Amino acid sequence: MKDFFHSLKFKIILCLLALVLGFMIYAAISGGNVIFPKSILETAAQPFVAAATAVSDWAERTLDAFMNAEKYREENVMLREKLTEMYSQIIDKNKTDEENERLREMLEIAKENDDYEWSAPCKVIARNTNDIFGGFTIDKGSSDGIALHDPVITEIGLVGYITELSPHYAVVTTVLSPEINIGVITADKNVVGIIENDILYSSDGYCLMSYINKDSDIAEGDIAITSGGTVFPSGIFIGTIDSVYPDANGLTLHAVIKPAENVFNVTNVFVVTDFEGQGTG
Amino acid sequence: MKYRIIGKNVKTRHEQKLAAVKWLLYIMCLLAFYIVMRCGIFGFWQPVLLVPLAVAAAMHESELTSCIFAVFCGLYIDISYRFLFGFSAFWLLIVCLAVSLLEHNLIRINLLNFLWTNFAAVVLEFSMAYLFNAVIWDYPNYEIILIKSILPTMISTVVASPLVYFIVRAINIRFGKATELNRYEPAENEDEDSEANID
Repeated sequence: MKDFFHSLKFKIILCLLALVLGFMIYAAISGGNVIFPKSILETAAQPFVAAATAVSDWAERTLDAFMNAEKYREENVMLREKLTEMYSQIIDKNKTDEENERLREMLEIAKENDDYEWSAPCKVIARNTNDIFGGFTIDKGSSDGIALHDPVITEIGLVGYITELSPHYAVVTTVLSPEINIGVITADKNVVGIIENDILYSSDGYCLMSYINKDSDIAEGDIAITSGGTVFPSGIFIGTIDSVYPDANGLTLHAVIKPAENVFNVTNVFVVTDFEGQGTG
Repeated sequence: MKYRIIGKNVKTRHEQKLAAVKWLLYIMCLLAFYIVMRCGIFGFWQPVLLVPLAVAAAMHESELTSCIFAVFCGLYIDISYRFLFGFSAFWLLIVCLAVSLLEHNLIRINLLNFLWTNFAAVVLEFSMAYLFNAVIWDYPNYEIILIKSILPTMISTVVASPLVYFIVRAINIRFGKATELNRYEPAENEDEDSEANID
């Protein structure tokens, strides 16, 4: 073994180690842009991954439909009732009513709204392995007009934003991630706060809204939308308030939000490539 | 009878072909396991089969080739997990070098030795991942990542690793190192092999 450490082989292995360290430093300073060697490796495997993901998604959906048919039927009935109840709640409130309309017809609105520019529909081609926050990769990248930190949504609601970008694919960090900060306002009561996730909730699929005024009348069932800023445009549906509890110091409230979109199941998304106020300030 | 001699080993053309097929199969295994990782079909119990693949290859191959293969396995783990590019490759390279040196100097190739070296590799890889991707960022309740993601992954990887060992073993039995008997088999095309290369 002593000879090995004096051999050319060992020197080559040390060079390899230095190369890997170089990759790490290069990736760390690239600020979200996918570095060239990574792009080569991922692009080489991408067609196989995309095909396998499509097959596994189909198999999962088919199996799921068979195994949970009864559960979904009950859930469907319950959701229909809940939806009816919610419609009746918001019907008297013009602002919320408009918001609801916007959510249901998001795609149509997008075409009419000069403020927003959208990417072509993006397909989820791979999921981050064992990511409890549901991060995934989409099949569009910078060559399709997508930029870092662009918001990602579906026709239902907010999904996340772009955190890693290459010319032909992009990685999405979801609303469940503790890395994300989103300004939030409730649609009817105008209660403001910020989504700053706690892994305790996000690992179960919930977001945590913090810095809520303790005197506010935020309550279960309220609709949470984005309040607008430089990363996320205003008025995108996030989810509904699931529960509210006071902060440990008693000065503010926390609200647990059930996101409207299940980020673990999305297969198609849109990227908002431009909106008024994006990236300013 | 003509022979081609490369380095210190005598290699016939047939053996070179076998070696090429073997590495092609290794690469196919790498791609297949990477695809399985990206599909997310096992939820949070998704085994990271690239770790046992790198360890099993390290047991059967030379130090340098196993290190190169480990780097590729590690880089694909980094892509799949969205770790810093090179992070897993760094740790896997060190582990596979150690495994390869152990196999060449101290231990024999068998399932038991594979299991404990693989377990050590999995523990090192995921403890480092947990340390550098959760603990140092000090997210609230970061230990949930350990319970819900890291531990299930480690368990499923260790449980599934014998399968990888037997795949690599099967590849090596069929396409692996030549025995003394077949090492001196004649080259298939004697005209092309008329010039013996001696390095």
